[in-house]
Amino acid sequence: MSYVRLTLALAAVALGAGCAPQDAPHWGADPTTPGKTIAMNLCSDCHGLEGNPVSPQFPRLAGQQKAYLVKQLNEFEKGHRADPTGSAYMWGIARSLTPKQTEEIAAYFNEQTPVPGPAGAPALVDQGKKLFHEGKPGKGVPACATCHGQNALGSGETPRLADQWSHYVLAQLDVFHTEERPAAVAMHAIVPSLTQEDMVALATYLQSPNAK
Amino acid sequence: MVDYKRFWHLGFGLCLSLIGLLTAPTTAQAVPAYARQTGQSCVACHAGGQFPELTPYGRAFKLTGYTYGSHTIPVSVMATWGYEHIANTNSPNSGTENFPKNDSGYFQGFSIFLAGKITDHIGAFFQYAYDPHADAPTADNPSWQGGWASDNLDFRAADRWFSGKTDLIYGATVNNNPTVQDVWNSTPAWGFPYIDSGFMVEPTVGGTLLEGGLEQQAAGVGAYAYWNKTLYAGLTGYQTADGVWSFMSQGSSFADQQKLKGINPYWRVALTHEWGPHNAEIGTFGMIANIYPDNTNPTGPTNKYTDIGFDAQYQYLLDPNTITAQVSYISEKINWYSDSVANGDTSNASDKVYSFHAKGTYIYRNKYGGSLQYFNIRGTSDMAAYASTDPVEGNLTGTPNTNGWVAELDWMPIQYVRVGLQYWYYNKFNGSSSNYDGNDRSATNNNTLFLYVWGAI
Repeated sequence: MSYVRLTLALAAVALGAGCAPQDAPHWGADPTTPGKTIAMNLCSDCHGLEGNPVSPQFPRLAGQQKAYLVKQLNEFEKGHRADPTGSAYMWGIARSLTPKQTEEIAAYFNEQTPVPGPAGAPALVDQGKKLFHEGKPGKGVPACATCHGQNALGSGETPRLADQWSHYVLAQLDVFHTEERPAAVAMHAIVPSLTQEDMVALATYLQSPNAK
Repeated sequence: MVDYKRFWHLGFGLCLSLIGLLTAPTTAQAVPAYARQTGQSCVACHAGGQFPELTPYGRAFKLTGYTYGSHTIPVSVMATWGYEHIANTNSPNSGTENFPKNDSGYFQGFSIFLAGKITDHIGAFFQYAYDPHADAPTADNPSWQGGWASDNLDFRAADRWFSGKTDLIYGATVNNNPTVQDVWNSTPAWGFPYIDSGFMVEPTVGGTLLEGGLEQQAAGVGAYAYWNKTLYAGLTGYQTADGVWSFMSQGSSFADQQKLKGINPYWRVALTHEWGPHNAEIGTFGMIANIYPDNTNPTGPTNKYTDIGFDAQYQYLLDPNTITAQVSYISEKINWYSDSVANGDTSNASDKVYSFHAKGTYIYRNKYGGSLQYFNIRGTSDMAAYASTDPVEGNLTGTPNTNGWVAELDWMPIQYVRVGLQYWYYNKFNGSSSNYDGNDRSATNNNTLFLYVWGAI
């Protein structure tokens, strides 16, 4: 008899979970699910509930430009953006979203408050800061700030770089040496003129560029 | 009349063709149906692509009931092929029956998975396996007999609740193997090694009850919750998988299936933390199980198993490197049924078994990997329960002590295929390093090299 009671109790839990109100469905490729719900239930697993992920494996999305996020999700959806880590996670997700959900997810993360990353070694930070603001005159490297803004906050489809994980920035600079992000036309032209040391310096600086 | 035998043979042949005669599992480990459901690569859920080790994202996928993604055809097929070499097969009084697959390559079998989301809150992981070596040759039947059997089954209903910065995942599980519901690879059901030859020399005591003693024997219904990616707790009650639950124990005959008395609790508590590319878990788990000593007569007094385990896991996940480590220790006390000593079934009224495993893995670019594990099973001596002088499988001292190392090199040419070279080294086997069986066989004689190809679609 006790077994019957236990089974019934646990079945009730199961049914309770299974029949819970649909206010927070999981990522179910459902076009009626609000983008914010998807962001909180699914995107948060890797990017953090507020777009500030714990792991540098995943980019910070908090405060990111909305138009940039929409564009990247569209690039993933079409399979145009094919960097291995990004495509491994994002192709399937992007393909399950409606344009409205994509807009709402981008808006959700754009509205979050970014948390600056840890400051790097001062010498590297200074080197990266100089490169970011001055480029490499005469060597085909314009100042990054020209497009990404003096505070690296980005604009429109040009991404915010401020506070981004150095690991992620460095990984993407490597990707720009390939054809895996064809939409980043400007970056393809610039990266051949950057040395590995330049890229490390930039990534280190950008992890916390506005630290006081 | 439907010719089922022909049907299965056809299905078998088709599966072989589909996977290029490569592969199949002794247990379920990675499921391409989930990859199709989510549109994501295996590496999203499996650390370094090394199925079945789960990433934090893979754990979330499992805890939320396998429901991420779209409805797809929820079917996958998996297969393995192996080649085994045992160090010494010429010990005194041994026969070829002790080493039936030594120095030969053989198809291990294949599995069919029904795996995927059913609703936005309900999902399943069902594995059924075909083993071409289910029954050994006999005088009447001189060839191996194949058979289908239930493998790991896990049916879930789950939901997730947010409030401010609080994130709570909670759900229920129905499964057929204590620890199969776990999402860390430091507990037995999903612990290393993820595959073995299936024809190694088996020690008298391979581990505690929780280490496979009830797999596909019991049916459990349980509930769990995971709070803020910090605290996990779960409780499951298990009974014999018979009656309406018998679909979970297919392949076990009545005489072979262990019979549990009533409901037997399994519990699990774990603390987790993530920092940078690192994540770690420390926890405890355990079970109290009352099992009838005679499978064919489930009445009267029972053997009572009390297993208490402690475990920890560490992962470093940052391209291109993956480092994982798992440690577990299980202490088991067996209170034998009341007349076990008088009946000569055991020498002691109770015995203890302790099981320790520690393993580390490194994987580069989700493609090349290596693992090393130390294992140590030990316990009290019990001549009546454990001793025998059978060649090779005997146990002269009646002691369960077996320890050694497992080393493995892996190559994953594509995400659904793994080629592995595994080596088992025994310091001690059935209580001794030499003459453990009373026939002058040494523990190192059982060292085993195993080459495998494992794939799925």
